[in-house]
Amino acid sequence: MKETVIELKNITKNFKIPIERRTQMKDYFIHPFRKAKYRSFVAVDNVSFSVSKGEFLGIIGRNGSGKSTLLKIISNIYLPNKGEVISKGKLIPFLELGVGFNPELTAKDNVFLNGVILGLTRDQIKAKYKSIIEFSELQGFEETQLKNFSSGMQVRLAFSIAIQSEGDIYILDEVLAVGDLAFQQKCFDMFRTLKQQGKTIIFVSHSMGAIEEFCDRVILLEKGSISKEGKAFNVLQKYSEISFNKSKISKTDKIDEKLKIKLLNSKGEDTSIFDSNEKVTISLEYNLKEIIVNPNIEFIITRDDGTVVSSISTYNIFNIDKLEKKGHINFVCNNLKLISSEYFISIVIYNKDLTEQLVSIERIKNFKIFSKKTNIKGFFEIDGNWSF
Amino acid sequence: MKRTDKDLLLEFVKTDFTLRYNNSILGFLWVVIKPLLIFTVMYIVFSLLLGNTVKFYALYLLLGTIMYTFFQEITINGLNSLLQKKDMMLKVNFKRYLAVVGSSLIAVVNFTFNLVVIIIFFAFNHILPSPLDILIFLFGIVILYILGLAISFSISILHVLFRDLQHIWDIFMLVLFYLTPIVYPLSLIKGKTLYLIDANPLTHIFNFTREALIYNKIESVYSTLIIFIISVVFLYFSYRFFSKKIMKIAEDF
Repeated sequence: MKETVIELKNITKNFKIPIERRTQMKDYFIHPFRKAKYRSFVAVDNVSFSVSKGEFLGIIGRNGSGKSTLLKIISNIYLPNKGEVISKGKLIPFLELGVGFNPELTAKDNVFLNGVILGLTRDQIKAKYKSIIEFSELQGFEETQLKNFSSGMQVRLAFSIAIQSEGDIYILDEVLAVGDLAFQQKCFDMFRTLKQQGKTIIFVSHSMGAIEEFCDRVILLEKGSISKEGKAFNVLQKYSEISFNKSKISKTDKIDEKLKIKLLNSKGEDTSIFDSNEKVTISLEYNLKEIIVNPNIEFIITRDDGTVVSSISTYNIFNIDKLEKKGHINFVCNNLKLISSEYFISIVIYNKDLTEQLVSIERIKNFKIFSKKTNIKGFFEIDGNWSF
Repeated sequence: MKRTDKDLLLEFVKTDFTLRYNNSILGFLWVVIKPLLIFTVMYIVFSLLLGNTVKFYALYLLLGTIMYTFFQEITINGLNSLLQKKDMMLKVNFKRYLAVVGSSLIAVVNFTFNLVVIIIFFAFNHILPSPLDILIFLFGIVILYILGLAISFSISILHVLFRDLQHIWDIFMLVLFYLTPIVYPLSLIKGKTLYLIDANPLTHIFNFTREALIYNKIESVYSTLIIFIISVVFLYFSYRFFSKKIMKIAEDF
């Protein structure tokens, strides 16, 4: 067991949120002694976990799930209402896109100011100054005031300073959000280096690819508490479930909430990862309020950017007399020759002539395809053989 | 004090100077010009009103103005020290008290430059204070600094919680200016007003230093010593209040 460097014990953080805001002086004069009303909002709710030395921990969750608040508590900026944080070693925070720049100062002045705030001496900064500027690719802009920088440039500079600050623990919140592709690639290289050096990193990102690639362990926050913790893949799967299962349901009058899609592999196991050569069974379980006569069912496969990859429909192919209140329909694909990526299935149930959508649920299920063929462009693989 | 803390203070002071004198033509000279201009206005107005009642009135007024500016700057910088750095405070956990101390050091630097003006004025009037007088003066400045810093620790926290303090403090500093014998001599005040002026610690510190430096007289020694002790105790409690509250107010920024 490796040494524990960060330990959170039953952390709870409440914020007071005013119910009615006094915006005018008048309000104070009319009711000078009436206390402002607040309600308590629990941002972080009884969270405990520990991080061991050299671990790369990912924290994911939707906006407002308490990620940033939690990071601020770990960084010792917010005091929790309950619980305690123990951390060992020098902690370098990188919160909410930056380390606290002053827009009126030049890039150079900001490097020095932020360097000393992060615990470097002026001599150390002088020695590292060149590599900071080089890493941020801001040569030639050193005497420019920061207010004239783009947000991407600012983050690049901030990250470069943070990374050069020789911490033991790095807390990185959304480093990748605004940097361009080249800089992201640079960050990834830096992550690998830090990992090799045995640094501990807590990483918050919405970039699922980066989470999956780097994190040894991932924590999913939902409404301020840990809803799942473990290996990246399992947690990410749960995350996409909570993100997409609350997706749009129109025409809900005809369906019960329990419309479900299962994906079965060639062995009949319920999974969501498939090889591109594998036989996949899409199984729709339905639970309707009333019988639907002569329906048409369509599965739509999309990529995460919303591009439709393909669709599978019963129209003119498979006639369904009626859907009973309960049952299931299967579609067996011989293979899904898609390129390696993440995909989503949406479902639409139409009437007989496709003139009316009876049920439509977007992104009801997600799955991944892994293909042995790498370096393929586009959407799908083409079968065939080469010859001379 | 650790090397990194020293460097942090240095950067705070440097930053403040850069920001204050960015895009200004006279730039750094304003440190000296501003109190001199205030002095000139005061001198014209009050020498007309008071006539020739005070010996070396120009020196008397200049010394008072510069000392008061020093005290005022410490407290006003201290008042804003946390809010001014809120962007950093919400991102990095550095030693918070350094923000307050750094803001007070800016006042010290400004004061040091104004000392040059004082020395020039003394030379013009052919006054050469004795080493003891200079020591007394420096001791007075130290007390002013301790008192100012003590106030700063408390009001920096209170300002985060009650933004009204900005306006209240401006008015308070104006009132305090006239409750301190700066433009008028203490001998001119009679009756109940004297109690009010006497209750102002600045009165004693100013009297103590100014009498020594200009008139080579020793006055208000005991009251000044008591104020010194009170200031040190106040600084201790004010700092404790600061360290207790600082972590709790992060979400109020």
